[in-house]
Amino acid sequence: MASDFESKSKQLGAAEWNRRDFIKRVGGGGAGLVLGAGLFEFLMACATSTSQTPTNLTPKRGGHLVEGAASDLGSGMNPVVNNVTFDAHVQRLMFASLVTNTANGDLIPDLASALPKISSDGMTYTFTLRDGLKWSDGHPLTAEDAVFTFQTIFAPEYKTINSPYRSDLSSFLDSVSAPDPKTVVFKLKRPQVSFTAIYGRQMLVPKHILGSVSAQEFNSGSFNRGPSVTSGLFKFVEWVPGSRITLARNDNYWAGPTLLDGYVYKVVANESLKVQQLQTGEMDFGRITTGSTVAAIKAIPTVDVFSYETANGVAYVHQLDPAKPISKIFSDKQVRKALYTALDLKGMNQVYLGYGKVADTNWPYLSWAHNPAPKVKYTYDPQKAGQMLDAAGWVKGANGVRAKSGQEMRWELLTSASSKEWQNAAQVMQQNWKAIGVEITVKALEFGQLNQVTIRDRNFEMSMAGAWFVANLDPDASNTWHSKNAGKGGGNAAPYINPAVDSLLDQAAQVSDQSKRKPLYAQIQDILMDDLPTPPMVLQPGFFAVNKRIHGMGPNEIGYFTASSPRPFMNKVWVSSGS
Amino acid sequence: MLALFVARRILVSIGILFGVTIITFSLLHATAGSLVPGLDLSTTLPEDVARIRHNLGLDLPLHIQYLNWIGGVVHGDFGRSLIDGGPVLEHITSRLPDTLQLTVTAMVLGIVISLPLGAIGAIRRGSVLDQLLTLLSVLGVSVPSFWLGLLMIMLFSVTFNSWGLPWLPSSGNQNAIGGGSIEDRIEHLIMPATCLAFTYIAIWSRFTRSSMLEVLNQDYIRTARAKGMRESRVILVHAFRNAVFPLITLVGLELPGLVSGAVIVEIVFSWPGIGRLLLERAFQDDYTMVLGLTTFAAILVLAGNLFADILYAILDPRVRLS
Repeated sequence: MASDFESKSKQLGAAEWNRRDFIKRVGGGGAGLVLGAGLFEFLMACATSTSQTPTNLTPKRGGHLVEGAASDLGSGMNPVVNNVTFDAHVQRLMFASLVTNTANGDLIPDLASALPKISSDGMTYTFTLRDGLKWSDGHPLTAEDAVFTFQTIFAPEYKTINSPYRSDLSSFLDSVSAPDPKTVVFKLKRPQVSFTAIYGRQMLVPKHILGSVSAQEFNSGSFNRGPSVTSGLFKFVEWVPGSRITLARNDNYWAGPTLLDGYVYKVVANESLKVQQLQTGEMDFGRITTGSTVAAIKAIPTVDVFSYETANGVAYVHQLDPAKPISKIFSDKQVRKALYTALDLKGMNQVYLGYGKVADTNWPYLSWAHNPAPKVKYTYDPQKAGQMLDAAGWVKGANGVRAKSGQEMRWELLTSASSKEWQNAAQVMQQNWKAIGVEITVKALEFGQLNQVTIRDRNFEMSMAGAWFVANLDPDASNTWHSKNAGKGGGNAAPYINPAVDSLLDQAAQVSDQSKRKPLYAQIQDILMDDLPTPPMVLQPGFFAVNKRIHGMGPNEIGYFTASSPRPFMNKVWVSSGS
Repeated sequence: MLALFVARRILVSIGILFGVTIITFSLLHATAGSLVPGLDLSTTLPEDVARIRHNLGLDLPLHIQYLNWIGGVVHGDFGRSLIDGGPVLEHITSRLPDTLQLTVTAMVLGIVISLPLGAIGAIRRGSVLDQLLTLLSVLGVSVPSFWLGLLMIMLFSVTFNSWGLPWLPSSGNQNAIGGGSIEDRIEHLIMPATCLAFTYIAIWSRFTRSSMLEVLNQDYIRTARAKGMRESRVILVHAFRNAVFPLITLVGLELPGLVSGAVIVEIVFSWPGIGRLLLERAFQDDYTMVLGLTTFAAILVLAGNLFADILYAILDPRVRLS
C-alpha cells in the first residue's frame, strides 16, 4: 500500500544501509572498501573504453533485465499481509491494482478503466474494471477479486489474517461490494479523501486461489513465497532468498505482454558491488543510494546515471514529553528556534555532495501540498541564535556551556548506525551547536533499535528521523503530528500536541477538492515551522543507473514515485542487445 | 564400558544443546529491534501490531514461547520464519547444498595445494622457493578474506571485463539468466572457493612443512636412505605418508566450518548459502530463523565433537575412564 514509497517507511534507508555498510562493519573492512574504490578508479582510468553497441530504435521483443537492489524482500509476496517496503517493489511487478501512478505522482487507472466516481457527499467510491481482465492462469479477474482483497484487509470475519491496515481501513470503510462483475463499490463511514491514493493502489489478490485457504495459509503459506497466479507485468518463477527473484512475462497482462521475456530482481548487497556489476553488465539498472558512487558510475561508458528529487529527508525530533527532564529545555519555542537558526543546512547538504535540497517546510517540494510561500523562514545565523538563547535565559557558564537554573544545555542525539549520511549530518549539528554553547553527544543505533527507542519506548532526548516529511501521494500527515498518534507506538514521537494542528489535519483529510485542501496544509506547515517540533533539514537526492542497452527507462519514466515501484511504464521497456 | 561412555557423552551433548537454545532464545528476544519482524512499523497502527503479534503468538510469555518452540524441535519442526512464513528446516536444507559446494571445494583445493607446497618447502628448506612459500602462507594467514575477495572481484571481474579478456562473474552461484549449467556454476565457484581456500592453504602448508621436517629427521628415514632407496621413494612413501597423519586432525577440526566457515566469503561474493541467510535474517529480526540456524549449527558441532570423542575412546581406552 502506501508503504511502497521509500520515505513512507522509516526503515527504508536503514534496510539499505544495513547491507551496504555490513562489510565495513565486519572486522573493519572499511579500509578494504576505500582501497578498493581507489583501485577501482585507477583501473577505470587504465581501462580502454568499451565499444558501444549501436542503438536500434525499433522496439524489439525478447531479453531480460537484471535490477540490482540493496535488499531482499523483508517478508513476502502477498500484497495483503506483507507490507515491508522492498516487498512492494517486487509485488508491483506481479500484481496490478485498481489505480496506479506516474513518475510525478499523478494517479492513473490500472485495472480500473478510469479514476473512481466519487459521490457528492464523498462517501461512495465506484470503480469500473476494464474489459476482459484475466489472471495469469487465464481465470477472469472480476470485481469479486477486489471485494475479496479488501475484505481480507478489513472485514471482521478475516481478523486472523495479518493485514497491517485493518484498524486504519476499518475506521472509515463501511463496506465493499460488487453489484456486477465489473463494478466495485466502496461505501465509507466518513469522507476520506486519501482513499484513492492509498487504498486504490492496493494490489489485488486472486480469490480463486486464496479464497478457500486457512488464515494460517494466507498469512504464511507458499503463495507468499511464490505466487502461483499474478495479474501484473510478470509471473513468478523463482525466489532464492538473499540472492535473486526471477520473473517471466505475463501474457495476460491487461496492457499487453511486456516486450521483455523476463526480469531478475537481484540482491547486490552494497554500493561498490553495484558499480562493479554495472561495469560487467551483471546488473542492468537500479537505484543508487550514495552520491560518492555516482562519480564511479559516470565513468562507465555503457551506463547512464541520472538524479531525481525525492521526498526523503532528515529531520530531528525534540523530546517534548513534560515528564522527561530534557523537555525543560525543549518546551521553550524560542529555544527550538534558536537551535534551528544555528544550523548550517546548506553546509549539511554537502553530506549529499550538494545534490540534496535544503527543506523549507515539513512537506517535500514535490508534494502538491507543499507550501510555496512559507511565512516562517530561517537563515543560518549563529550570532542571532546565541542572542536568542541569552534572551531565553540560557547563558554561558564558566565551562562555555549554556545553563539555566542549574540545568546545562547538554543532551544526547540519536542517529542511525546504518546511515553514514545521517551520522555526518549529526556531526554537523554537533559542531553548529557547539559554536553557540550547546554540548551534545551523538549515539548511533541500529535502525530497528532507533525505531524502538523513539516509536515504542519514547526513551530519547533528541532523535534524528527520516520521513517526517509526507511522502505519500496523499499529503495527510496525521500519523506524524496528530495528537491521536502521540501514545507509545504511534508516529507522533515528540509528542507534539496542538489542537489547532489536530483540527486542521482532520479538516484537510475530509475535503476532497484539492484546491481547498492545499491552503489547509499550507497553514499546518506554517504552524509547524513556527513551533518546530520536528525541524526539517535536508531532502536527500535519488540516483538511478541504467545500462544504455535498455530503452524506455530514463528520467521521463523514473522519478521519486516510480524509482522503486510501481513501474507502469515497464511494458514498453525493451533491450537492444545482450541477454 | 564404551556404551556407558557414549551414553554419558550423548546426555552431556543434549544438555549443552538446551543451554545453547536457551541462551540464543533469550539473547534474540533481549535485542529484538522491532515488535513484529517483517512488518513496517512506521505505517502500521499500534492496534494492528498488537493483533498481529497475538496471531503470531508473540504476546505469550517468553517461557511458553520457548517451550512451544523446543517442543516442535524435538519433533523435527524448527518452526516457521517470521519473515516469509516458510518452514525454517526447508530454508536450511535448500541452502545447505550451496554452502557445502563452496566449503567442500575450498577444503579439497586447500588439501590438494597445501600438501605438495608444504612438502616441497620442507625438502628444499631454506631455498628461495621455501622462502616464497613462507611469504605466501604469512600473507594467507594475515590477509582478511573479505579484502582478498574484493580485490579478486576488482581484478578478475571488473578489470578483465573492461580489458575485453575472459572474466569471472563477481557474484552469485549461477547466472541470474539462463544459468545453472555445470560450466556456469564452476565459473561462479572459482573465485569464492579460491578465496576461502587461501587461508586453508596458508595454515595447512605450514603445518605440512613442519611435520615433514620432523619426519625427515627421523631415524627410519636415515635408515631408508642408508639402504640405498631412491630419494623419491623415501620422500613419498616413508616421509610424506607419515607427515600427513597429524594433518588429518587439523582438517577434522575444520569440519564444523563446512557449514559456518564461509559467512564472510558468502557475503562478499553474494553466495546464496547458509551464512548469508543467517546474516540477512539476523538483520531482519527473524528470530525463529536465526534460532533454527544456530541450533542446527550447534547440533552439527556437537555431533562432530561427539564423533571425535567416541573415536578417541575407541582408540584410547584411557579416555573412557576419565
